[in-house]
Parts: sequence; C-alpha cells; structure tokens
Amino acid sequence: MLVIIVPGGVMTEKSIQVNVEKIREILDKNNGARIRTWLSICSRCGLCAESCLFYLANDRNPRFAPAYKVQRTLGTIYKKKGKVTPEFLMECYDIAWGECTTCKRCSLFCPFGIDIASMISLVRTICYSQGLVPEGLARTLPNYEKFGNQMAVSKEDLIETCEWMVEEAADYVKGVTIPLDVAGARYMYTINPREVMFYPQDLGMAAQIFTVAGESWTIPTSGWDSTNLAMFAGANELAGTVADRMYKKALELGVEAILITECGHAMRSAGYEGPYLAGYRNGRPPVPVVHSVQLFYEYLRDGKIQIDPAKRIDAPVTYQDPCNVSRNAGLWEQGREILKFVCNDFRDMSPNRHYNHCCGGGGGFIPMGGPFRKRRLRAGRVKAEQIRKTGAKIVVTPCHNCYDQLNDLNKEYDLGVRIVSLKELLVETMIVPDHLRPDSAGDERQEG
Amino acid sequence: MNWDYAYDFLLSRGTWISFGIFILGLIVRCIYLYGVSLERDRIVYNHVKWSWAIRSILFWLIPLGSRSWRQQPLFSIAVFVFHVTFIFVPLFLSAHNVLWESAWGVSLWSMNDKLADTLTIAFMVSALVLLWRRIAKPEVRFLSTWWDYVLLILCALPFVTGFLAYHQIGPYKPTMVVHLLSAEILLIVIPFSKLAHMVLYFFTRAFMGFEMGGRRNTPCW
Amino acid sequence: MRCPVCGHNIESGKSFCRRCAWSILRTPDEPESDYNERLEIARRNWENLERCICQKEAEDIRKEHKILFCTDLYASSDYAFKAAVNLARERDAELIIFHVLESRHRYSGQIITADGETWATKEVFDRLKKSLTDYYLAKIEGQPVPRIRIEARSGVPWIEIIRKARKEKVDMIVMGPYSIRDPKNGFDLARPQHGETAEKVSLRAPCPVAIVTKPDQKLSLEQGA
Repeated sequence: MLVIIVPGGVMTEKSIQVNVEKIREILDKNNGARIRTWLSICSRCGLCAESCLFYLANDRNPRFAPAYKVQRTLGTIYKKKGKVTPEFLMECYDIAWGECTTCKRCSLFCPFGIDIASMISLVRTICYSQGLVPEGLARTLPNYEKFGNQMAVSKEDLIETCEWMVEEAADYVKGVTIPLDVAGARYMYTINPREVMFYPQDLGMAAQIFTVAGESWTIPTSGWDSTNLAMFAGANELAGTVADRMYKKALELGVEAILITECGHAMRSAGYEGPYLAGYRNGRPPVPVVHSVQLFYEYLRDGKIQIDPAKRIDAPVTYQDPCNVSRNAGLWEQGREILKFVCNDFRDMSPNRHYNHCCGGGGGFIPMGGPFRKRRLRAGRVKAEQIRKTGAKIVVTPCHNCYDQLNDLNKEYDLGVRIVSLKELLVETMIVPDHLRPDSAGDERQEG
Repeated sequence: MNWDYAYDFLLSRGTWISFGIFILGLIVRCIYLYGVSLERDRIVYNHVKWSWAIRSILFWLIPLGSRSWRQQPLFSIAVFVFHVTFIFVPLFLSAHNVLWESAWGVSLWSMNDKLADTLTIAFMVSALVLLWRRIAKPEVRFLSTWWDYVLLILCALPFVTGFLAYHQIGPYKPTMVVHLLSAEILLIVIPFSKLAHMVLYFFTRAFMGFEMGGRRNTPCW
Repeated sequence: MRCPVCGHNIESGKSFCRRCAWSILRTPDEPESDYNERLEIARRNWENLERCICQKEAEDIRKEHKILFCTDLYASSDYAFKAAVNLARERDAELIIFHVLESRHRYSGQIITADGETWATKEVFDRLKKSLTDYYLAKIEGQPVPRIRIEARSGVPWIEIIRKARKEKVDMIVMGPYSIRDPKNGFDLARPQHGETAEKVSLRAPCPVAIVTKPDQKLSLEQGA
C-alpha cells in the first residue's frame, strides 16, 4: 500500500477523500484550447522519451517517457472526468512530483511542441486540491502566508543578518552597505531565504559586488523572497500572492527593475509564471525582472567590475545551465561570457545551453527532502555523467537549487569537483579598486 | 453485395459526405478551439512574435531540421516522406485529376504514373518504417495504443489498395471499393482524432514559438 | 565651596577639586578672559567625561554577563561545559546552553537527528530541549548556576551560533572542538582536532571564543568587560 506523509499525518489510500467536484472545477477551468489540443494530438511517437532525464537515468524505462506520464495522469483524469480513485490520485502524486522536475526540456523535443511541464503542473494543482502535497513543499506554504517567505525568516532576522554581513564584508571592501527599503533605487534585489538562513555570506558577497560596481540597489524588508515553492506545490492562488507581493513592493519602492538572486525558479516565478498566477492579464510582470547572471555579465562587459588577471582560474571549469535560467529565461550566453572573463580552461557539457539537462533537483525536488532523496540522486545520474565527461574541477552554476543538488551529486557519485556560484567566483577574482580597499590589513583573513 | 453499386455510392455521395465532414469538422474544431482559447488561453495571445512562430514551424517541417529529428534521423526522414507523399500523391495523381475534371471541370497539375508509383512505394516504405518503429522501440511500443496502429493502417490502406488496383493485382472492384471506403473513413476520422494535427500542428507549433521564443528567447527546435 | 566645573564640594583648605582635579586658584598673571575660557573648556570636557562614566556604569549595572555554551550532544563538549559552568558561577552570568540541529539540505527544513532525517517540528525541539536539560543539569556539580537557559535551533551550526551570539550580545562563546565525523567511532580526546564549526565560529564570532579541550582548563572574563 502506498503511504504518503503529509502535514497532519500519514495519508493512505483509505484516508483520501476524492472530491470530484473540486477536481472537475479545476479541470474545467484549465480545459482550454491548448490542453485539449495537446492531449488529443499527441501521436505517441516517443521522441520526448529521449529528452527526459528520468527516462535516461532509469535505464530507459518507458514508464518515464514524458508522454506516458502525462497521458497516464492528466489524460486519464480528463477521460474519467475527474472521477478517480484514491489509488489513482496517489499514482498521480507520485508521477507529478517524483518523476518530473517540470524542466520543459521535452517541449523542445516534441514535434508538436506539447508543453508537458504545464500539464504536469496542472496535475500537481489537482493533487494539491485533494490535500496531496509532498511534505517538504507543504511545510513552506504556511510560512509564505505568515512570514512572507518560505523559511519563516522574521524581518528582524533579515535585518540582523544584513548588518552582520555588512560587518564581515567591510573586511574586504570599504564602505560596503546593504541598503534596506531604499525608494528609487535602480534594482530591488530579491533573494532566496536560504541565503539568510544557511548562506549569509551570499548576501555579503552580493554587497561586495554591488559596492564595487557602484550599483544603486536595495533589499526590501517585505516581499524580498523571490522563491515560489507554492508554484511547485500546485497552490496556484498562494503562488500568485507570493509573486504579487514582490511586484507590489517593487512598485511601492519605485525601482527600475527587480533583480533576482542566483536562483532558477525565482526567475521562472517572477518573470514568467508569476504574472499569470497573480492574475495579470497581459502575462507580463509590472516591473521588469532581471536575473543576476545578466547583471553580472553587464558589469564585466562594461568594465564596472574587473577581473584580476593573476587570479584567473586555471583549473578546468564547466557551467551548469539551470533549466529555469537558461532554457526558460533565455540566459545561457551570459553565464558563459562571464566565465570567459574569469577562467582559462572552460569546458562545456554536452548537451548544453537550452538543451541542457535538469540537474535532477528542480521542480521542488530539493525542498521535498528526504522521502524523495533517493530518486533525486538517481535522476541526477545524467548530470553526474555529463560533469564527469568534461573533466572539470569546478562547476559554476547561478542557481541555488542546482548548487545543492550538484553538491549532493558530488558526494554520491564521487565527482571530486567544487561547486561555485557566480558571486563566489566574482568575489574571489575581481579587483577591488584602491579607494575601496579596507585601510587596515584585515584582508589577510582567510575563508574557512 | 453489388460491387458496382457500392463503388458508385462511395464515389458520388460518399465523397461528398466524407469531404464535407472532413472540411466542416476541421473548421468547426478550429473555431471551437479558438473560442475556448480566448478566455482560457490568454497566454497564446500575450506573447505573439511571428518570426519565432514561423521558424518553430519550419524547422520541424524540414527533415533533420530540429535537434530532436537529428537524434533519430531514420524516423525523421521516414516521417518527412510519409507526410509529403501522403499529401502529394492523392492530390496530383492523374486518375484523381480525371475525377476532379469530370465532376467540377477543374483539375490540378497531374504527375505521370511512373512518378506516382515511385512515390506510393516510398510512402509504403515509410509507413512500414513507422510501423516497425512503433513495434520495435520499447518506449514507443509502450506508449502506443491499438488506436495508433489502426490509424496508421487506415492511413496506409488507400495507398496500398490504390497501388494494387492500378497494377491490377487481385480482384479490381473489391479493391477499389476498399480503396474508396478506407479513404473516406480516413477523411471522416481526421477531424476527430490525432490526425487533426494536419491543421492543429501549425497552431501548437506557433504557440511553442511564442512561448519559448517570443517569451523566453529560446529556440524550440 | 562648590567646584565650578563638576559641582563637587571642595573641602576648605584644598586648592583643587578632588573629583575633577580643577585647580581653583588662578595663576597670578592670567587675565580674566583666559581663565573663563579655560573654565569653559574644563566644563565641557567634564560633561563629556561624566557622560562616559555614567554610561559605562549604567551599562555595567544593566548588562548581565552571558555565556553561550554550544553543545554537539557528544561527550566531546563536556569539558567545555564544565569550564562554562565554572565561569558562569564565578561571574554570576547567565549560561545559555545552545544546540543546533544541522540541516542537511540547505533548501529544505529537514534536519539530522539521532533518529535520522526528519522535519524540524516543535516536538523534535521539545524532545531535544528535554534531553539537553536532563543531561546537562545532572552534570552540574556543586553549587548551582545562577541562571540557565536552554535553546535549540535548526540550520547550519556555525551560522546559527554566531547569529545567536550577536542577538544575545553574549560575552563569550564556549564550545568543544567539534571534530566528530563518525559518532560511532567515539571521540579521541587525546588528539583533539579543530572541527569546521569551531573553526568558522572562532573566525567570525563577535566575541571571544573559548575552545575547551581538556578537563582542567579554566576560563575567565575580564573585569567589567
């Protein structure tokens, strides 16, 4: 018997009450031209199978072909008009979260361009409406409502951490600040709460980079969380609120653009899905959204940040394209251009750019935590092999999610690489101009 | 069973009915989908960029034009031959043109029979490749339903029977009746099955062009 | 008479103020204006000085010493606990016993406990606090410690320790060397090694960090720190 743990207890097929009315309502609301067409014209040619990392990682088991996953779940639900059994719903749960990272790669490999990721997202929404959500995602949802971010970071904690990081960053760059809630700044820098909780140095590094580049930026004290796990949990309404909170704050502060930290799904949420979830009819965010990989590239291109030639990296470096930054936001050259400035031996993975495989940790997989860990690491086999083939010693990725997954893969598959974010890379190699050098010799301090 | 009667019926009324259902069905389906899309699929109209849509369509029409095609070259070429001959042969076959001529007094350019023969053989070969692939490749076999096989056979049947009839192999009249019948069933089935992709293909691909290209600046081929 | 600078009562027969050391006698050839100027400067200086002293005194009174003892739940920090207890007793300080449940995935709320990976729920914390209380209260020998607080958080240990130290403005962090990689093999106290947490904390902490590796190591806080 399948057992699913959700907040509030263990769910077995007996305890699930299928609310057919609710499922029908969701089905009807989404039964547009696209889904009708997609479900009916899929010719089951199997081209999508080769594109899917789950299929490749699971020894080409046809059960993992994207077309099957969608026909088995959404196709069947539509066929049965929502009248499904609890057992079936649990299977949907398993497929929608455990066998798809909604990376959208299959859409590029389908002759009809069927958007399977969207349909899997719809399956997630249906499961969510029946109370079936992976615990890891479900736990973040009340945090979004209560604290405005997924990790229950309080406003005080955010401010305190910023102060702490300013103190630390001042050892490297003089006059570094983290401006909070500054109206009229150029960029509103929105972050991943995990930076506050687990990687505060990330904030410090951002502050150093922005200070050296002379950027006008600010971190808002509300609406600062650019992540959107509600989107991956299928909680569309909440996901809309989360995205809208950020837009509203940006409008209130009157900033030029929202700057997204090195996070993949934050870009997808803020730039692409968010406007629809939040109910903007034209589907565009009310404030332009910029990903930091783009901004960092501009800094290097325009010479606002200069790389110390002596610090250029000789070790072989490869670049992991996060699905939600490269394929789903069209920003793959920027990362590579940055690497051209910083390292001498760049080796691309194959496939790369928008064809790149998901690391296996996307689509909410990492926050889903332990219960899905085994599958996540198995799915990452494709990525691990890709990395090993390049022979790189350093893997650069502008996505927190990839960062965590790659670190796990590194241990699991014994890759012997170091995973580095772009900020780390820039801070380690950039030239701090003389007028920004700290006066004392405090810069002898070494990173641990 | 009177073969002549069946043949006449299929040729006269059958053609009208099947073409009527075929064309009307497709039109109604498209209009219906358009109507539904206005409210529920705003996303289609929000990011329109025609240059992306056209490339999205074209690169997938050309054999080996997309990365996905290049990964399976034999399939790509077979699909291309299958589709091109499927449209080209019935439209420009001289025997069919004679029928157009006698019915409406208009006719298209018609090709010589030798070319038609070659193309028909090419079609049958490509259909066999598709069938073989469906059976031989585990992931495709796993995905396929009986209906997929039926549709493939239904697509091939008019060509096979037409080929047999032209070369006078087997009983002529029953073959011709099967030829007409299968072709007309095929026409009727098209609007209501996955074969509607003959029209819908352009819409879904255009949408993908908007969605990936217009919106995300990512090529989808 | 009263001192013109600090207002202290100057005993008769004295030529200077015992509090602010102002000489009440005027130098013979000093003009009136110079004297007044000197007096003005002395007054201003005294004001500033007084403010400093008062603040410092007030702070000294207000500020209770706090000692943050960080435990890794293994015997390796027992010596550190003993030292922390002694120090707390000696300085009449509040002892905060602090443990961080480590998150393995920096993205999810899951933490590592003795039972394996689990979610950081209230029950987990309650259980942890209870076992911390049982364990450490039993370990205190002799006189009781004035004030003890037991706290737990989840996250990356060194980050949470520093966050706590900053928030509470503690006077000292006391911890063991934290180098257990494999808890099953036990801990070789004979060869203590610097663990990652101890290293990061000692590098980045806002206050002194004491890493205690031997049973007889004693700590002290500077008077009035």
